[in-house]
Amino acid sequence: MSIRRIAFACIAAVAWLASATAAAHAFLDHAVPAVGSSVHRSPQDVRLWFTEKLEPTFSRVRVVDAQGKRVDRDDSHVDATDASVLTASLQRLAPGTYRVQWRVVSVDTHVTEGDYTFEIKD
Amino acid sequence: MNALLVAARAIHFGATMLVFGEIVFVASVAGVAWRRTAAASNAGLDRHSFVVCAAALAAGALSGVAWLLVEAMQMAGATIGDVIGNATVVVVLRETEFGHVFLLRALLWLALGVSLVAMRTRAPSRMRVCIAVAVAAAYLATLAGAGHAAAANGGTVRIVHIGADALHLLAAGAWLGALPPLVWCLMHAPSRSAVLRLAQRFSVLGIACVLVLIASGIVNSLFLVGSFAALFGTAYGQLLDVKLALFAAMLAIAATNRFRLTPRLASGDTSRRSLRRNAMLEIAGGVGIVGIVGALGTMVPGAHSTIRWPFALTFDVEQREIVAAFPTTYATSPVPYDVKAVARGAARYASECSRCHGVDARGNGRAAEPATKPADLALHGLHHPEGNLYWWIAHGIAGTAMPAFSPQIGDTGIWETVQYIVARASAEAARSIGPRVDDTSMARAPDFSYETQGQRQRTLAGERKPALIVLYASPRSGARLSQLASDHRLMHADLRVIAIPLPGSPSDDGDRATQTRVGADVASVYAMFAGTSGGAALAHTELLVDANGIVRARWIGLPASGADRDNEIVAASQHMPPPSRMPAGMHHGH
Repeated sequence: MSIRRIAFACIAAVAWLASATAAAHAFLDHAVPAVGSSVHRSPQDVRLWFTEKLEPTFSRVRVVDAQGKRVDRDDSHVDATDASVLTASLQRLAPGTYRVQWRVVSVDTHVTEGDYTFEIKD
Repeated sequence: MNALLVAARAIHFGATMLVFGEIVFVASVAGVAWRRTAAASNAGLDRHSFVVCAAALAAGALSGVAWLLVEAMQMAGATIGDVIGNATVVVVLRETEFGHVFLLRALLWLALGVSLVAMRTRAPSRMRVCIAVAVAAAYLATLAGAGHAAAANGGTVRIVHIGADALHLLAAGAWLGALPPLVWCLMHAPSRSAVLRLAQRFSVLGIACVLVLIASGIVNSLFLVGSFAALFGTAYGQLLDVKLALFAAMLAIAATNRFRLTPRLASGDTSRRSLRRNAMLEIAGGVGIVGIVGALGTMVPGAHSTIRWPFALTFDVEQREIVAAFPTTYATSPVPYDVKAVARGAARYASECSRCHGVDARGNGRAAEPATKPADLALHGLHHPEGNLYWWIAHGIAGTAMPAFSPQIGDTGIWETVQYIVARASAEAARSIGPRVDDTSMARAPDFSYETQGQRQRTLAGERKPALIVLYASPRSGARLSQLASDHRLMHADLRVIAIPLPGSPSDDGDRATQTRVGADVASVYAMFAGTSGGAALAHTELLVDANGIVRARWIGLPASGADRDNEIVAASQHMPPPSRMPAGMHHGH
């Protein structure tokens, strides 16, 4: 194996590693209903995708209306097939603005929390 | 609380490394270099290492329990009373990965204690020493399962990261943990020849450890720091810099020992004292490093925090030259690249920027004086880091007519304007893209949410899957929309078809045919991406967007009768390797 080949292999390996998804601390990747979006029908549930796997026991999401009243069915749980997805089912929602509040613990023990709103339109 | 966590982690890491290093030293260095020449001192060394190991195990247990309790408090957001009283700590042990690793390590701790007592009370045998080394190694390496590495997504990546982390711990433990018994031996060595053999033997161990530390450290940094910018521009990276400086200082000391002092050992006792002093210095450096490790594990890794570049210059990898840099050069926008932000940015642009930069951002605004030549943002928007665009809008450009817009426009407003410029420049870049998949495309499709009949809302970017965006004009596009909606080849190719009306077209046509529904802001932003037919009229346009949200192919106008465009689209969508370079501002999403 020539030096050039070895160098190429090293660069390729470094590039592969560098492009791999680094993790640590679960951040919100995306959600449905999407952050700040409008929906035309009352959604059945909220689903939040995080950047790393969650500890099911300590990860929670809840949804409140403009008055701060809970509108989720209090069944927040981590998805059985994808440990980085947190979900909760919703009551039937009237048009208005709703706030999704989450607090999660990643498998490396770090706590992150946040919130966002979405809107139900007529 | 955080200070307690850092202290508990640091003591635990230090104690665990010390036990491993002691045992490795006794097994490898002392076994050969010491016992043969200093039979009388054997008992002394054994007693010394037993006492150190016992103390380290006790410290490891106490700090381990403190670590567990603080973690349980943070995870549950509870007080120490709740954690113990309501048995939250039991829940943590039973149900979390951290708890499982803790339990495994508690068993290893017990096994290590038993094997140390066995070594002390029975005649030392090769077998017993090997078992002790193996158990101590497992006790140290399993710490990798309690850190950032354990959270990595994906099978191979996780294994590589945890493996590198474990090797890093073992090499650090073998080096740092072996320093205290080395000092003891240097103090009690009966002869110069014993010291010489000790020093030679130890340097072999040291060199092996250093090589492993460097290799595994590079792998770990790639995962956790991610870039040179993060190595200097984040708190995590800067603390890591301090750690690297300490490591370099320790290497310099080790090199002095190896290449200057050891050869001189035969000639006098001064070298022996210097060796001892240097070993003490290395221990001090090691204590500093372990303290930093205690803190790093509790911080957000550099790869995930906002970078604040501390230097006025940086090296542009693509241009291969040194260029001016700003604190925000490597910052990524806290405002997402979606149609809402782009639409707000467009409104801001129209009121503040278009006078000089022009209505279509070509640098041809009416108010611009001929001498100033405002930047053609449509052309250059993608060729500068978005952090630089932010800086220029916020603080102006000295020596030009570009004024500073901060603080009258807030942080969010400036980032929204940046996102508009990126969208405008992307639309401009998309103009040169045809039906062939473009591997150099930098044109980014702004994210948006849409609803499909009977399904939950979806987003363009969130799915990490390609999509065909159809910008349609009613009523001419009607037949084409129906054709797309009924073509099963697109469905089998797992290609989403999202219809967006061009300005002036009623939105229900797309609804009816492809069953997708988007907001009005999506239509107004995506009009930028439409091609033109003949004059200035916007034409029916189809954009193939890859899983990273980059426009890779584009068809303008309706397909000619008899042409099978869908076949072309499906073929293209199946063959979209990641573009040769990621556009500025692209990073793994969050």
